[in-house]
This record gives sequence, structure tokens and C-alpha cells, in this order.
Amino acid sequence: MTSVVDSLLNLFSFTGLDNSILLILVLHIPALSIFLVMVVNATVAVYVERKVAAFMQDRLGPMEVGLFGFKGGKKFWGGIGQTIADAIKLLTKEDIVPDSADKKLMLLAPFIIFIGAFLTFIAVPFSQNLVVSDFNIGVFYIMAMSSVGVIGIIIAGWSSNNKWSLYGSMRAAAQIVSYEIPIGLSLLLAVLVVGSLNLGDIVQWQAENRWFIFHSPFTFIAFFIFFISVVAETNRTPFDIPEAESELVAGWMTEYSGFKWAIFFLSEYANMMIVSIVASVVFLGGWLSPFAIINVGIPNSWMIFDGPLIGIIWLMSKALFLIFVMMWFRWTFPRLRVDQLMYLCWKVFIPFCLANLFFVSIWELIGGLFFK
Amino acid sequence: MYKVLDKSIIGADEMVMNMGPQHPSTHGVLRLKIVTDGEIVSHIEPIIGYLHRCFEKHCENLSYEQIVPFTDRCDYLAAMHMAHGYSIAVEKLLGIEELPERVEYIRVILAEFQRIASHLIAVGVFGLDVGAITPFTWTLRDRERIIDLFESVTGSRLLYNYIWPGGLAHDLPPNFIQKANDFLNYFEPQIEEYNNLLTTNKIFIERSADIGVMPVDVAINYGVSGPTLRGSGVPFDLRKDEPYSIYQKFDFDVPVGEGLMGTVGDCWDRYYVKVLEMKESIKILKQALNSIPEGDVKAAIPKKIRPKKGEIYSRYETARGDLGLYIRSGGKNMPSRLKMRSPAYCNLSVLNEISAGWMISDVISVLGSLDIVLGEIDR
Amino acid sequence: MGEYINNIIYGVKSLITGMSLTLKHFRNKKNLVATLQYPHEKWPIPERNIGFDPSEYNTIRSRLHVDIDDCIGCLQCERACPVDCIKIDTIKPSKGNEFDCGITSNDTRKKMIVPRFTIDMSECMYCDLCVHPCPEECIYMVGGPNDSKHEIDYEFSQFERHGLVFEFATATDQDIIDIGAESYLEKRKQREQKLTRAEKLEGMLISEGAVPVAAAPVAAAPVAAAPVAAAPVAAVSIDFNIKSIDFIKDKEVRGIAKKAFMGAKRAKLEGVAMIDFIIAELDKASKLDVDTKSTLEGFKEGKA
Repeated sequence: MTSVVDSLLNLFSFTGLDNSILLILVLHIPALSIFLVMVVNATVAVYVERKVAAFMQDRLGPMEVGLFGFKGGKKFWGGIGQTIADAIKLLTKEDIVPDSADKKLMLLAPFIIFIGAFLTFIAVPFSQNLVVSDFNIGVFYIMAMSSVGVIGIIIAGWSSNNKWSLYGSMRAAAQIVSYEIPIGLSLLLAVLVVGSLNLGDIVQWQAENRWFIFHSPFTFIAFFIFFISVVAETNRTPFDIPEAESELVAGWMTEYSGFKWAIFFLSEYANMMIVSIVASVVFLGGWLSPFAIINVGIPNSWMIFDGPLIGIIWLMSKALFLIFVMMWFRWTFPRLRVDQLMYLCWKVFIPFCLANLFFVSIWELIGGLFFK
Repeated sequence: MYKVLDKSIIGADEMVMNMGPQHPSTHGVLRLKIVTDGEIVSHIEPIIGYLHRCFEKHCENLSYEQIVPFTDRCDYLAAMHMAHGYSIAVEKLLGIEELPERVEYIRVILAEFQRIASHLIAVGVFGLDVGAITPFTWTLRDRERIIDLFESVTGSRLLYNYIWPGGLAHDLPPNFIQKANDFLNYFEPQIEEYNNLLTTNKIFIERSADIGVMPVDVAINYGVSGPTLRGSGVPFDLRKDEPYSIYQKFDFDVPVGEGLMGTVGDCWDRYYVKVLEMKESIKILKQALNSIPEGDVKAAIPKKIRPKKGEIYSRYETARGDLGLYIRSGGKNMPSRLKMRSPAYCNLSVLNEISAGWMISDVISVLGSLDIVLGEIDR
Repeated sequence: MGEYINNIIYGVKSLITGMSLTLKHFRNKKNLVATLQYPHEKWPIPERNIGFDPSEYNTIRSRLHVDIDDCIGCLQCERACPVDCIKIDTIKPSKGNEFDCGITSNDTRKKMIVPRFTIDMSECMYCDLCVHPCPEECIYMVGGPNDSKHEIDYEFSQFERHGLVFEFATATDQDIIDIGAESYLEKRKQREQKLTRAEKLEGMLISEGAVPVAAAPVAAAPVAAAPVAAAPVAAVSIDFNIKSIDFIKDKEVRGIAKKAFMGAKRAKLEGVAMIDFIIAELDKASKLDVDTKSTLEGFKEGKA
């Protein structure tokens, strides 16, 4: 699997520049693209989330703001310009900093969270060959980078000098650190079976065999554990205790407004995107068409359904479905309490994950003995 | 309940948190001073008075008719109940024994509709407090239909000034019975939906069952009443025990908390009693709507309300509990003293007793299950 | 262990029940969405018969309206209002005045005119109590009887609070003069002046003394010149305050003196100039006798 950076280097090699200088110049293209993806993703996802919420609650959601005179559908999907109007509002809002806050840290926090989300995108593949840099430790890198955000959250909570914020950030730290473990253990199954940390290799294994979720009954359970854990990792209901609107006002974001708050929002939706893509890549066949659920003998290079370009659509539809499910969770369930959240992680998920790890190893061993 | 650690071991200290008056889930302008040790709350002090309007003193300068709109504003979620309770008190003071049958029927019908509307808010907001937003909008959607009914009857949607001492402001609109029956047919299946979405939800049960348990003796010592008391398993309902108006004519049960999901008297029981009470209200409404007689609703309204010297204490079962009204008349057209025993005030006082030792999240659950209205607490 | 597994199974089951319910609502939105898109769609107004018969009284509480031609000025509605948002002035024709006040549509001869009938809708709480006592049925919530005269108006709004104060009276100044009540016009003018002053917050400026000369009323200007002349003499510290005037035995004279004292204080006079001012005032009222004058003069030299 070649990465985007490699292809760009090849493309611009005619300039004859030194490779390291060329790398620095070329890197701006994927960087800007990632930023664009984050912004577009947040804009669309916020609109869709509001609409999904509204329909589940028998409401209509935003219906008034149009885009260039076009309002969208009259009856249900109106108000398509709402998020853009909201974004403009957020950018032009007064930047309020509390008097007794630690001003430097308070400014720093949103950027750390943003960088955490931004850097993760480097290893996230959007399709075959469409990954900024093809790490051979991709899974590990994504896990490491997605937990950088928690530092930002702790800084945000501490620097706000607000007791609610502090509570929120402490809860966030405990929650995110705990839920890293079931996530890691679930991803480890794929690594165990495939024998590689590279996301491209994992998809390649699925192309040759079947979707990883159907590898064995244990990976089926592992997928759900993984998915619920990433919902917790991204602080969304029913695991939104760090923000817990009815308890902690807005948790660690209480004192933030305007542009800084917009960055938090951007990062939250970017994180949703990342974890959905990772879930679809590792468990749901990534950019493979659904015809590869089980290997029925159709050649995978069948260009109509599989390939680098159409792969984007497959991967995105899988990821967007998972994002929809996250929204679905949010507008259905109440919120867990702190200790119940920890109970779920340490007493339900982690024992199941360890059992999964054990049984998948056995499965592989027996399979190796009998089916090969 | 959680044990607070021995502070001397870890050198931890307590932190005083200030919840409210601007807080998403204090149900108005209530301020809670919470002493916490980490997530665990060791003491709560509710501080009230942010919505104080001198209701009782104000009443001493208003004629008896003019007080009615102000009683509406006490418990703004159950305005019909407050006006009904006040009217009953003034009628007792005036010595009016018998009202036209139709007046009583209309009063009971509207009061039961109001009970459903108020409990819908309580149920939805409790869901909101534990983090579920969808039940709240669903309950508000259904409450809206009741309010539409009220608008067609009284002309306003929240504060009605419809039940007057001695009668009603005017009669029902022509097609009211039909519309009310339509609503009841629509509403009954909705309760099942709430149960499926919220009541039996595992997370919701985890958040409310076994939490904030209020034993019977604590409840009675603090003067708790209404659904909050019945949640603890005491079948005390003024509609049954001291029937006023014409409640003795109707057949209905008094639901009590049974500890289905945990202990008797926990948050879940207090919540579920309200759901069951809505069903009982539907029962009463069906009987009343079928047998409503004809009559003149203004026949018994006194031309001038000027009671003789004397005093009266009257009780009424509102959606939140036992509303007591003490009125002393000095022989003028204004009361010389009016005292209101508001149910939510007494219900709130038990907060520290039942939620100390739980987590911050549980304090919110307990507060939501007590179903307070600040307009009535502060008056 | 069994409980542990049962818990998980019950949990998963109940969560799936909830999710299927919300999905049902999501998919069935065409029938279930309850929103009314307010400015585009409007609330259906509850339909009712219209008339003054109490049994079919229309009760939409939209906004108060007065048919002023029918108003006899009985003040019943003003008395019924719990929040005092209705304000009515009435003038009876003086004796011998043949002014015709008119006849209501119920053929009642009016006995007075109504030069002021304001309803402050920003204070009104829509309790409907003023509507019922009206003997001529001329005050009502719009949308009720006579709704042909005024459109039903749920969302009436104004840009300023003044806009919500509605004046219904139609009596002209000529009517008031004809009825023989010029003094009423005078009073009303004073009230309006007071109001405009209050709006500009003039009273506050003076009492604070933050803006001394510019904001001082014109009336204080003539005496303001006095302290300049008297300033050098005032070097002797003079112990003179309002209690010092108490030596005057005659109540009337003492009152005038005290008034003059306060006037001088307002004009920022001090010491000798103040005493001079009081003497001049007393002189003007021709209440100044020799004793009083000499005692007041004595204060100037600093003796009590």
C-alpha cells in the first residue's frame, strides 16, 4: 500500500529538489486536506445530528436558515445553512476568559485537543492508497494519538478555575484512560489474527478471508465492545459524564465560548469520524464492498464494486452509519453515573475482552491445525 | 450509599460547591450549597427565596376575587389545582355548602387533566435530569395537547384564572367532551411508550433504583406529601382520605411505591408512582366525562365576597402534594391573613436527609424525583 | 454469576427496546412530527360562539380593547384589576353646564366624559377580571364579542415599552374646556412635564450634584450669583444648620424659613449668603419681625 505522501513525492520529483525540502513543501497538501475534511465533517455532522435528534423527538430541528437562497426541503430537511450560520456566530463571538483563570493554559488547551485529533488523521486510511502516511504500526499510532486529547481536557478543566470544569476534566481523565484498555484489547484481536499492526494489511487479510467481525463469534462480541468503548472514548451520551449537562453545567467546557469552544466541537466530531473509520477498517472490511463479507469466490479486483476510488464510498458509508448509530444512542439513552461507567469498563468489558483474546487464540490454533 | 473516607488518612478536604441559582437542573432558581468529598456529597443545604414575590402579604391587600390569578402563579405547572384549592377554601369561609353539580364535574375534569399535565412535566424532566432528552420532548408534546384543551376552555394556556370561588368563569365550549375523549384515547398508548423508552431502561433503572431511599418515618417527619410520600409506600391521598369536591363519586386507586426495581421509596418508585397516577387520572376522567350533568356554572357565584369574621384551614391534593390554605377574615372584602402550606416546600426540605452520602449525579436524580416547583416554594 | 449474566441480558434487551422505539419515531416522522412552524403556520384559534351571553362567551385572551363610545366611566374595571394596569380619569360637567356626554349603544345616558383611559399591556396579566364587571360590556379581550371591530392578534408586539401603553380615550381638549375643567388640562400638563423630566433622569442629576451648574434648573440661576459676592465674608466659620431656625416660635414663619433654608441649600449657598437668602425670603413673605432678623443677623457673627 502506497501512501499519499509517497505518491506526491513521486509526482513532484521532476522539480529536482532535495527530497527533505520537497517533503516539507508537499506535506502542506495533505495537511490542508485533513483540515478541510475535519471542518466539512463537523459542519455536516452537526446538521445531521440536529436533524436526527429532532426526528427522534418528533420535532423538525433547524428549518429556517438557507444557503444562497436555497433552504433545502420544505417539509423535513430544511435549514441546511444552519451550521454555517452557527459557525460564523461562534467565530465572531467575544472571547470570554474568566478573571481568575490561568490564561495561557486556557488558550493552550483547545489546541492540544485539536492537535490530538488532527495528528490521528495521518494514519487513518480513507481508501486503498489514500492514507497520508502508511505506518507499519498504524493501529498503535492511532491509539496513542487519540489519547493525547485527554491532556488537553485536563488542562482545560484545571485552567478554567471553575469547580464544575475541574470535576468534568477529572471524570474525563478517569473515563478515557479506562476505556483505552477494552479498545486496545479489541484491536489486539485483529493484530493477533493478521499478525500486523498495519491497517492496510488488516484490510488485505479481510479481502482474502472475510470481514473480521465474522471471523469468529468472539470477534463479533469484540466489535460491540469496541464500538461502545469508542463511544465512551469520544465522550458521547450515554457516556458523556465529563460534560454531563444536567450535573456539571457543561463540564470541562463550562468557561469556554466562541472560537475556542468551536475548536472543541470540531475535535469532538473529528474524533467521532476517526473512531468510526477505524471500526469499519478493522472490523467491517474497510474499503471492501459488502460482497466481501464472506469470500464467495468473486475476485476482489472486480472493478465495479472494489477499488481505490469506489472504496472511499464503501468506507464512508460504513463510517457514516456508525456515526448515525452514535447519534441514535445519544438521543435514546440516559446517562450513566461515574461509578457505573467504571463498573461497565472494568467488570464487564475487560473480562470479556480477555476471554475474547484467549478464545480467539484457541480458535486460531485449532483453525491452523484443522482448516489449513 | 457511599462511605466518606477517613480524612486523616489521605489528608483530603471537603469542597463547597454552589449549584444554582443558574444551573440546568435545579428546576428554576434554586440554589444548593453542596459539601462534597470528591464525587460524594456529605451535606446539602437548599437556599431558596430567589423567586419570592410576597404572595401572602400581597393577598392582604387584594380582594378575594383578585387573589385567584395570583394563586395560579404559585404553582405554575398546576395552576388549576391552586385556584381550585383556594376556591374551596373561600367557599368554606363563606359557608357555601353546595355548588351546582356541573361546576364540580368541570372542576374535577380540569383538575385531573392538570394532574396529568403536571406529572408529564415531572416524568419528562426526571428523564432530562438523568440525561435522556427524548422522553422530555415526547411528554411535552402530549402536555401541549392538554394545554390546547385548556385554551379552548379558559382562553389562556398556562395561568387560567378560571375556577372562581363559588363557580367558574364560564361554561365549557360546545365540543369539549368530544375533544377530551379524543385526547384520552390518544394518550393511553403513549404511557406504554414512555415505559418502554425510559421506565424500564436498564441505565435509567441503574440511575434511579435504590437511590435516595426515603423511609416512611423520614417522609412523615418531614411532612412530605403527594406522590413523593406515596412513593415511600404510604397510601395517603386527600382525594380518598378526606374527599373534597365530588371525588367520592369516582372509582380510582391510590398507587403506592412497591420497590419493583429496588427498595421501597427510592427515586424509581417516586417516578413510577407519577406514571401510575396518570393512569388513575385517566380512569377518573373517563367516568366524569361520561356522566357530566347540565347546569348553570355561575349560579352560585356570590355577588360580593365579604365573609364574616372567622378563620378556615382547607386542604387540597395538588399534583405535588397536600396544599393547605389558612385564611382569616376580618369581615372585609380582603383576607386579613392568608397562609399557604405549599407541598413542594416540605418535599424539598427532605433533600439533605435522603441524598447526603450519595454522588453529585444522584443528588440531581433525587431532586428530579422530588418534583419541585420554585414558584410555589418561594411564593 | 447468574445475576451478572441476567443483568447484562436485561440491559441489552431494554436498550434494544428503546432504540427500536426511537428508530420507529425517526422513520415515521411524517406522521409524528408535532412542530408547528410558527411564523409560517399559525395556531388554530379555538372556535366558539360569539356573544355576551355568559354561556357562550368567547374567551380568547389576546389583548384588551375598549369601545370608548360605550364607556360610562364607572371605574369598575379599574377597581377589578389586580395589577392596576388600567388608569381612568373622569370629569363630571360642572353644575349648570349643558354639555352632552353622549349615549351608549345600550341607551344609557353618560354622566361624565373620560379624558383618560390607558391600559398598560406590559403590566396586564390577562386574568380577564376587568371584563366581567363592566355594566356596558365595553371592555373585553379581543377575539371575544365584537371581534369584528378588532382583529384577533396573538403576537402583538412593539419596539418600545411605551408602545404597549394604549390610550383609548377620545375626549378632545375642546370637550374638556366645554365641560368646564380647564384645571384638568393644567394638571395633565404638569404630569406630562414631570414624566419627561423623569425620563431624562433630571431629578437624579440634581440630587447627586455630579453635574453642578449645567444641569441646575433655571430657577436657581438668579441666586447663584450671590455666593460670589459673599464669599470673602464667609471666612468666619458659621455654625448654622436647619436646627438653628427652631428659635422661631411662629409655626408659619418657621415653615417659610425652613423652606428658604432648603432652597438656599439646593442653590448651593452657604453661611452668610444662606442667611441673607432666608432673611430676604421672610421679607418677601412680610413675616420678618425685628427679633427674628436680629437673631439671624447674630448667626452671621458666629454666635448661636
